[in-house]
Amino acid sequence: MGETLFKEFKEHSVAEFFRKNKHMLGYSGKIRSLTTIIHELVTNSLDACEEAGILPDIKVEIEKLGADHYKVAVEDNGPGIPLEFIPKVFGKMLAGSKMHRFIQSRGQQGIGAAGVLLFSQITTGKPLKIITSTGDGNIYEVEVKMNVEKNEGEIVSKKVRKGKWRGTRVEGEFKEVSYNRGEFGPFEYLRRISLATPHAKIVLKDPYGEVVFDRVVDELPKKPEEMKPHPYGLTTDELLYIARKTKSKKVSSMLVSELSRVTTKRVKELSTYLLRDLILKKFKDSVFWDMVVSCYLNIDINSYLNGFKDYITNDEIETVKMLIKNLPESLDELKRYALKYVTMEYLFNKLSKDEINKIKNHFKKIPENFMEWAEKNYLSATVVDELNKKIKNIVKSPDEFIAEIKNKGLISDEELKKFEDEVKKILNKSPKELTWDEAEMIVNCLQSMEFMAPPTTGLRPIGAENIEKSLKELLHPDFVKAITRNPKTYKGGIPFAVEVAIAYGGNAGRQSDEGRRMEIMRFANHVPLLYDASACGLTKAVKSINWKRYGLRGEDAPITVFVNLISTFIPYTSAGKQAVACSENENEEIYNEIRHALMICGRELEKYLSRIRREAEEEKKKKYVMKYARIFAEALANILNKPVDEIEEKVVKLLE
Amino acid sequence: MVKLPNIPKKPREIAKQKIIELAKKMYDDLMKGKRPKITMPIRSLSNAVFDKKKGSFTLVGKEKARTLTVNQAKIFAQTTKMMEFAKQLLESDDFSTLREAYYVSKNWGEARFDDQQASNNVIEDLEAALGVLREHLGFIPEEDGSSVVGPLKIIEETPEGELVVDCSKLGTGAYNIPNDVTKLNLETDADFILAIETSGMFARLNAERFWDKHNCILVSLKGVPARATRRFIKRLHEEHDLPVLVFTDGDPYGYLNIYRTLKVGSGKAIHLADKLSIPAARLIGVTPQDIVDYDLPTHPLKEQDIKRIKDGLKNDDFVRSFPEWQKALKQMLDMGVRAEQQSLAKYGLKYVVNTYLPEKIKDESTWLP
Repeated sequence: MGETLFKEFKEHSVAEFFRKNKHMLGYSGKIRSLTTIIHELVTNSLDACEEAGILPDIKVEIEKLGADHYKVAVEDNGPGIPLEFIPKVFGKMLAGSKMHRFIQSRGQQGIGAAGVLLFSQITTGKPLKIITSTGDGNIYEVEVKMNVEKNEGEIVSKKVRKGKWRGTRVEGEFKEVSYNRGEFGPFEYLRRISLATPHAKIVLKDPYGEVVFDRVVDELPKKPEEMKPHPYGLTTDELLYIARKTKSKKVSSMLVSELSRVTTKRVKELSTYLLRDLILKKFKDSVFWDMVVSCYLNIDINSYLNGFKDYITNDEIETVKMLIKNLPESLDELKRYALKYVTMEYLFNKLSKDEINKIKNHFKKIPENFMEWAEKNYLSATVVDELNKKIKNIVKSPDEFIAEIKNKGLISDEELKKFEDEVKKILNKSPKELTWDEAEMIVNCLQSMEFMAPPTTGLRPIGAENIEKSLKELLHPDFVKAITRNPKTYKGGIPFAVEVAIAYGGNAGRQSDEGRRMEIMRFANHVPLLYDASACGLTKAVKSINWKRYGLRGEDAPITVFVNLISTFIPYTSAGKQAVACSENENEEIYNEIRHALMICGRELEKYLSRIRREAEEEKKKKYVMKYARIFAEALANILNKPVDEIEEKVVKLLE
Repeated sequence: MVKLPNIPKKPREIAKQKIIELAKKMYDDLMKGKRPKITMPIRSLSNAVFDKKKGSFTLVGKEKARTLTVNQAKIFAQTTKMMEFAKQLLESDDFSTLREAYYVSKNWGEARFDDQQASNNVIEDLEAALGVLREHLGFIPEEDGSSVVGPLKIIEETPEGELVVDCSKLGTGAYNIPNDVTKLNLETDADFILAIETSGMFARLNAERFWDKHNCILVSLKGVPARATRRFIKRLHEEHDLPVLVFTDGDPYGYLNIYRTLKVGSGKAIHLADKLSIPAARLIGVTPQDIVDYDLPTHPLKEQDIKRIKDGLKNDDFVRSFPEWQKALKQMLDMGVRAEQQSLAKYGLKYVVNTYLPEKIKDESTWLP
């Protein structure tokens, strides 16, 4: 019976997975589903062309077949797909080659084209038709279906004809989709992706007519380089993946060749950290643990617990004791309490007994609340810095630790040698034999070591000049300013860069009932994000700017704000991948970069607007001045009984 | 003996001349290719000094010039239109209130005034630039003056002939000073003018025919005197050489707001100080010393009264030029009380007429300058 269950489980897994989760993968709602289809096919075409060094010419055809029933075709002039790869490209889910690569890419979940095929199959039962040629004179016309049992694509028909053509055309029929040229559909998507891809030409034929989004740049941009991952933020899972794929013969050399900023010297340093962690592991749960902890930490937490026991809750004492037992994994947690205790120590030294008595209820607070209260009422910025420094150095260096352990006689020379050998074994073994525990230990130790920030040269922005060209072509604005910021890192080790632009006047902004309003165009790695705007950190960053300072009357202005975030890893808020996770408290580096860039553009806008306003005022003034001149001349002429025109002439001359 | 009154027409002739002169100067400048200018004295206390001999504030002579530039085009247009309008008023022997002038400007196209204040300012500018009272330009104030009774004949030329008002034959009523006193002819043989703060006291004195018993002209001030009232009293004083005696409540407001305005003028019209002030005026009561001498019923000084006295002692050039005033004000401050003019009723309703005023009028030494 287990077998039958398992068989059923296998048979329905892929189709069921997709059916159940397609709304998370972009197929939620009729218009959004169609947009996702276009997105997958167009980004595939763009990627293929760029990879092959071809300036992309893409045709998108959307034909209405009935209510909620459309035929979609996307054709490119790319390198074509070799016959044997077609089933893999369109049939394999979760098989993307772009996963696990530290490279800036348009980003797939690995669903991509396979999702398009599945969606068509689920809603219409029909296959996708692929017409492709690699330029070898043979043009293949192929129909592909998804074999849900095998999780594979299957060619169900094949035709060949002779012809001189190179490229790929994907055709499919879809139900449960809808189309219009509105703000949240494929039209807007294509409009925006052409902005972000100035070297591509996209022609759209839809039920309403034909639109050409022409290229404004005739050169292909440089390809983004693959960058090595940085130790900060590396996960155990990622390290094991690297270990399985590496060509290095030893773990130590793998770390140097596969990770950024890791040198042989660093690996030597790593070995002392590993040694320390092995020793700690040994003494866990033993009677000597407290002694060992005293060799590990620079701060005597237990003595704080004793000294403050009248002021802190019993629960807290229990919690901290538990944390001590669970070192070194619990170090981050313990640091919070350590900070609280050194702060309490500072207060006890500074204040009188009476004052302490008055505030003693605050000592029962959890560390975050306590620190917030203390910083508000008692701590200057310098003191806060000093206390934080103390906590930064809460852990002794591995060398000091080992010296202390030896001193205290907790470990003999032979035992020490055994551990050192164990460490050597790990570092010298073949990476393919690295165990989970060993990988986890390495990753943990790497986090406590100091590494230089990673290089950021592999990122490839659109370029401020290109963005301005694109925006000018699309919006014909009166003013445009784009800026590409230098790359930085977030989460300690992930490179990113932001590009930002403001277009004002002309067709900028979104037309609404009350006139033109601010339009925000968000991009992640050059791909437009159309949905989940309110949840997106990019939107929040734009809205956090006080636009009134730059001469706007608020958001009722003909202004388009363009934000492009590029990175080897975009922090999305959810699997929908339409909103970026950043704010003042999360990935602040990204949030602040965007704000800075926007403010720079904003200042340029302000200069432009005040110049325009000044010029308008002067125009207005000039008009009035001539009128006043006439009136003045008339009055003077009447008083003196002299001819008006003579006087007016002289006045006008003076005022010119 | 009837003295020949001055012919009031002359000032209007002079004003019209000055308008034409200023216009001509602007025209000449224009023809030469130079920018026309309008110069006027700076109308603020910073440009004024209290001249003790003259008894009024005079301008020290700082001037500002308005030159025709792009920024000043509008105000130049407005000013010349106002000059044109004034000339028309003078030629047609007409007048315009300040409010009417503002509405007339609505015909001036882009040069029209958006609010009353702007219109008033241009008229004041012209006053200062030409050195001529606005009444002589044809612009009269919104307010009429107050009441007059006594041995005084007011004669006006009308199309129907001469109109005479005899202020001694008005019964319990009184003559109401009009907004524009420019065209009135004044005939009198009174001995002096008595200016009275409150209408209550005026009614009492009129009922008792005080003006008849003492051959004086009674003028009510009704608080701080209106421009028309001040001009009326000043004309009487100048044309018929009549002393001006002032009778107010015994409080800081009566001294420093009412009396002072009549005597010395206001800060706003500082450029016209000598045309509106009456340096010869004298305060006969109620003085602080009177409060003591006549043991009058009093009220304590209010916060603002004390402030007013202190301010006057410290900052007012007029007060600082007269030690008698300083002494009197300090005395009031020490006493801490004030008294109304009608408090004399303590001694009977006719006391003020029969005893207080005759005693005070006779004894100059009890007056304040």
